Amino acid sequence: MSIVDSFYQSIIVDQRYQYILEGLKNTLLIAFFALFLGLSLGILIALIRNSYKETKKHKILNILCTFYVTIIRGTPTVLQLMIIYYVIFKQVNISVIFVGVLSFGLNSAAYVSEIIRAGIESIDKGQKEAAHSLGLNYLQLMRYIILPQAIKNVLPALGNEFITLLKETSVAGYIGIIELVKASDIIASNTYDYFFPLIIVAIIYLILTLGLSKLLKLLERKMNLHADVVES
Amino acid sequence: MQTLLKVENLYKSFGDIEVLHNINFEINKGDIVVIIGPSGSGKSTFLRCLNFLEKPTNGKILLNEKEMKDNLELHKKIGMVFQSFNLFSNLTVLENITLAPIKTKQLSEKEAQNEAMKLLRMIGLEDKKDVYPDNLSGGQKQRVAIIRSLIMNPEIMLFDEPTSALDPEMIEEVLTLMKEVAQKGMTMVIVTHELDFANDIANKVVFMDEGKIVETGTPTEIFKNPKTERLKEFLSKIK
Ligand SMILES: Nc1ncnc2c1ncn2[C@@H]1O[C@H](COP(=O)(O)OP(=O)(O)OP(=O)(O)O)[C@@H](O)[C@H]1O
Ligand SMILES: [Mg+2]
Repeated sequence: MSIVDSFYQSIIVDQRYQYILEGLKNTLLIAFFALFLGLSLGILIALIRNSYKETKKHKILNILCTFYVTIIRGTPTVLQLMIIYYVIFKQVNISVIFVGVLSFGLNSAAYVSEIIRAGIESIDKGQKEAAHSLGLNYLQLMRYIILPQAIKNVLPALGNEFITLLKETSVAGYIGIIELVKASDIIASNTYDYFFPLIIVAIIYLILTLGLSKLLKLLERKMNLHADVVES
Repeated sequence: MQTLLKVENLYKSFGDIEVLHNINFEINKGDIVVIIGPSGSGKSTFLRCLNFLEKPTNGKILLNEKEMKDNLELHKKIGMVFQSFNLFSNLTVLENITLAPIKTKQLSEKEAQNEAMKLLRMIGLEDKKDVYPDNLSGGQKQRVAIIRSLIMNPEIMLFDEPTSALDPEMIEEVLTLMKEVAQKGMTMVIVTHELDFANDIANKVVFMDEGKIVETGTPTEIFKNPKTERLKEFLSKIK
């Protein structure tokens, strides 16, 4: 079989490219919403754990968060996905994409929270003390002063986590979601020819991850801009 | 004269180490108190207890005859200026000054900005309003930190070695601003090693050693006629 023939069979015949488009759509959908869920929940967990460390408040919540982070980080992502789908939502009729978003979001939150927590702790305590003596409360301190600086400092680590998240969605096929890898698998099981389905999906992932890191670099540069302003 | 702040039997320990031992102390409205003493004598810890950056192990602090609790309302009434400036590095000079009055609802956004510009003009830094702290000199940072505290209109301002991190040529501008603030009637408690400045500005000097107040008096009493051996020794080492 010639290479042109192989491409034709894998992609064009029976509109097989539709699988890839469907896979791309689902991969992006899950990664995008999981990223937001992970970031929001991750920041929340980081704040709870930091506020416990500084003020000894929210002890029970802190224990729950620590427990949560330990479990998520200590078990494989694909297992978490399957437990959420086959155990927790076993009896419930629920969109499988939603389960994907939830599962990857919950997973990412644990990693994000550790990154953000390290970022918060990297800010010198002088600024916290200044905010304290100006009458700002903990949430104002975090929102206006600490988090903006913390996130800026850990942006490279967060970027890595987002890229990991994007790639990890490739196990969503385990609960029947047609994401990119599953799509290539479906095509290949029809044609018995893995070459183009796998290569094309690999290239798509590469474009996505490179694009994402480019985007994060831009963001990093934008956030650093004020530091470069020359004194007039 | 009216007692503004009263400290009664204040103790502070870090773990097993007692850093402050039975401190009793009164500040009247308009007082300029300077605290001196050797390194490690507990000056910073004492100052930090006054605005709850450190929690006293024992004892009472009364503001206007009411016992102080660690709450935000009180933080607003006691301003603090730090050795290391502690400006918010993600905010411009103007934002540094206006953040607290706006967020604590002390002033409206408009009022805060007007007031901040007035204060910036007073220290001659109005053209720096949109600059980030990284681009200021040490002396400029500290002067901005002082007006950031001033805009909250505190009842007392605490200064912990405000000039110790500055290059020598910048010390004067900060001391000058502090004198201006003092002349406006602000009650101030200052930890400093600048003894000439202390002599000029203070109406009360406190000498601390090993966590205790060893001697209190007017600048003349403390600097010209020290009574205790420890103070004499301290002054002879510094001069
Ligand atoms: N957070 C802390 N934990 C443990 N020990 C502390 C802490 N803060 C201060 N100390 C100790 O308390 C003592 C008094 O410290 P403090 O900073 O109040 O002294 P100081 O008079 O301000 O000294 P300096 O002139 O060097 O600033 C020192 O022995 C110091 O090591
Ligand atoms: Mg000190």
